[in-house]
Amino acid sequence: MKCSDFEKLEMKYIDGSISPSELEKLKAHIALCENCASEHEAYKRVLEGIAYLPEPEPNEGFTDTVMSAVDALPPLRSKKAGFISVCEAVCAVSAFMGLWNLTVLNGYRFADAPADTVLRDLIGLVFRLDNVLDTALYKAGEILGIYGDEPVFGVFTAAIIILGVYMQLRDTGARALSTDNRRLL
Amino acid sequence: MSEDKTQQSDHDIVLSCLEGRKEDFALLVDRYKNLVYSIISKMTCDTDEYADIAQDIFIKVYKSLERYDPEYRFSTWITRITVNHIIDMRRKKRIEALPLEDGEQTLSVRRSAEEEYISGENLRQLGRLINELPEMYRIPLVLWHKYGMSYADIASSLSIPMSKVKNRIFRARRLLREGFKEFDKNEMQ
Repeated sequence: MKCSDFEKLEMKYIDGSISPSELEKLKAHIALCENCASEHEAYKRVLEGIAYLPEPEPNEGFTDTVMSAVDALPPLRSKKAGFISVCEAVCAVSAFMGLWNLTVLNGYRFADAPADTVLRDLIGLVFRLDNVLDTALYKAGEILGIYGDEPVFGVFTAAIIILGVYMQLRDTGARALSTDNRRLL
Repeated sequence: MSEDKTQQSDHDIVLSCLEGRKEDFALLVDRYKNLVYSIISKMTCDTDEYADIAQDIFIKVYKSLERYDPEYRFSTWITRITVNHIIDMRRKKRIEALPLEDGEQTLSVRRSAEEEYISGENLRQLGRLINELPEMYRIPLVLWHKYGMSYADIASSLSIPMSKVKNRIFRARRLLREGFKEFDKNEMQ
């Protein structure tokens, strides 16, 4: 090994990527060459010293100060949580409109209805729409090539709910997986 | 039995914060405040501003948690945010970068047994030499040697190619070694 190869091998040695045969060459060269041995010592002394350099340290109350500022911020919501809340809102609006349609516009009274028809009417509730939304969705359905007025909104809502549940399950699965990976490491 | 939260992975803590448990963010602050402070101290000179800058960075991190990609280490991500924040801050306020011939004189010095072979004077000289390095060499060098970050993580943190990171750390080491040799020579005379 020549002195000109020293620095390349020394860097590999510092990086911990030196092969056993290269390490042997480096050791043998250092044992014979006073100049490279002194360079090796200089590198060692300087770079190991970096670990012991003084560093500024945050004061003890730093985390509390940050958390006070964080407390003043609105709570975070993940994109998935935001999506699920949209699903919830769509379901709530759908149910409200169906109820409005049934009771106020059509004069339906649950107390007067025969028991066997109440369940059927409640299931049908979420598929009912007020006239404005019905028309809008019917037009949208026409554009998309989906015909039939009443079921469109219900199918749309059901699709969003299924997608939201799927994303939630997928997120739960990802969390379990990340925990498992951590254990493996 | 309640789970020991300090054992949670960074990603689990992020998810917990996103589920509304903002108090868990304190765990991330505790884990990374020293790293953030260290980077700030390598890029700015006004020690009075460290706490304010660090606080702004952690608030930015909190607000950005939704965008954290667990494919990267959290340390890599927070380093990138810290470096970018300081660069932006300098642009806006025209804050001075760390000047030459300045450094750690106002900072507390942590002592350990391993320091015996590095005398106090040597350590001060090393601090001075590191501060004299151009920032493009100083930051990757410290991230590698003090925080044990990999070349790939440093490249990702600083948004530069890995070949540049290796090259800069290589040159930084050489500059330090030469500086120390010069110091030794002067000491001998």
